[in-house]
Amino acid sequence: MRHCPAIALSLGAVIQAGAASAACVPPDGAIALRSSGTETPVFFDMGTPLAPVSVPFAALLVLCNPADGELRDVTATMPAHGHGMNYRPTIRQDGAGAYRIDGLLFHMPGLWRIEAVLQAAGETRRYAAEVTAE
Amino acid sequence: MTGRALPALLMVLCLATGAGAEPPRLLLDPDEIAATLRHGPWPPPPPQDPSNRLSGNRDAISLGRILFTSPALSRDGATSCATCHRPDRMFQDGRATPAQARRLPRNSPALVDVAFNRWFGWDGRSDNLWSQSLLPLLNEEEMDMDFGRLKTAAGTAPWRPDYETLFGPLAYRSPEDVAIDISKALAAYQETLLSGPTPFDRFRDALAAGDLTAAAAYPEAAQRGLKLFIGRGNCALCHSGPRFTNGEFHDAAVGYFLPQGGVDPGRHRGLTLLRASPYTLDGSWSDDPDRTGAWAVRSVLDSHADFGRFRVPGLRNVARTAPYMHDGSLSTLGDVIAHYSTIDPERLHADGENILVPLGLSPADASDLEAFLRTIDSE
Repeated sequence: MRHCPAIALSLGAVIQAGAASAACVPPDGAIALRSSGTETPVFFDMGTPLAPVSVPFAALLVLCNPADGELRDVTATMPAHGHGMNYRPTIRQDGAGAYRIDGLLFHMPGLWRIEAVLQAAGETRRYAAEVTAE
Repeated sequence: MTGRALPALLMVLCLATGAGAEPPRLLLDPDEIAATLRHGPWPPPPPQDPSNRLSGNRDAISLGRILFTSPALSRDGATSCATCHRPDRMFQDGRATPAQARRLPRNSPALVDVAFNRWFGWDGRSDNLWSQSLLPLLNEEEMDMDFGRLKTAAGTAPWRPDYETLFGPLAYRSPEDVAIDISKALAAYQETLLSGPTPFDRFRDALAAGDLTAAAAYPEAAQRGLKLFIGRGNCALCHSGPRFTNGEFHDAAVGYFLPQGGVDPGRHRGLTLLRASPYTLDGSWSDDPDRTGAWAVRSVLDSHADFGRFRVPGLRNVARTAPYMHDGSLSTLGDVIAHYSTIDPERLHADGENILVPLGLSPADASDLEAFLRTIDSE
């Protein structure tokens, strides 16, 4: 496995995202993941608008309000193909309401659906959005 | 320059070449140009493996080259790595399967560009090149050695002085040390087996540079084949990037029943062996204190669909590496194209990924696709 340039990009985005979350302004290029249970999105920042193909990358997930919940899981699937990722990403809290996700790898070009599972007060909410890998 | 940035005139570019001559044309639309650019540039920077302290070491590469052809590393004294990975055949052997591989017959893969892999072997049982290099030495159907025999062989081999220059006195190395030393030298050598630029790369680089005149010189049949490859054929879903592989594992509807009975479980067994191995990037035999790349072995997921999945091979020099598929069951490029054209969905996992469908290629389509594939052979 070789180093991934996207990881370095996202490391830079960590600082931006941390600052942005206080005012609930998404980091530049971040994608809003939405849940049917709330109008407040969470933001998924890959440091680049398009995900790389078959290269591991990191991302930052930022909650507008840390009280919205704790991040429990992040998955990604290709709806058109009916498969997910071949790897389980690791999640590490990186400040209040901010999480760093490592080990994401989209092994095919095309549309991927990212889903983040948050839990708060016994309630589980699933936030999702689609991103393109190419 | 990206394909999207190119002006619409690229839809069909006609360049005059003189009276009476058929003008070369560029047949790709902007989206196709963008997709084409993603298959380069080539070559990439030389590979380096931090888990192997010998990676890039000239003395180790030289020793690895000697070891690669050394029959001293086999129990029968007649077999070397080069027996199945022939330097004159892109480091494969041109056979469907090695004659001696009876229990698990798999095609000997070409080793050119192997250093860029994420996973090694058809089932990905190794996550690094040096541990993969160890396996044939120990496999009873290949070199059939063990750690003790390898150390004994090193003691009398003509390359012993070179070994001791790199690793110190043989007497101070344990049998397992010697086996790993040999594997890491073999890996250092194999990292140097890199393919050169191809006619496709010249085409791709011309597009990237905006040199449309040069790009239009790429044969039209190859352009039509490329359009199929990145378009209707969906080949680039798995054969993506500069190496034309995503480095992962898929079910290509090749039968996994073995001639002698039983099945080849593919990636399913590969993962079992990987996790049992002490020689992964996450293990103590790695020379990399940062455990670079170990995330993959730590986080790779199991799936029942792994059964019968095999690693997607890169396609550079594909025309020179027949026969094809993990079991060598398809003899020619034409056979491979016919396989995907008429693929039987019944042979795929019923609840696996929904990707492969019969392409229904016409003879002209198949000819174009093969013409394209032949342009990713090194010049």
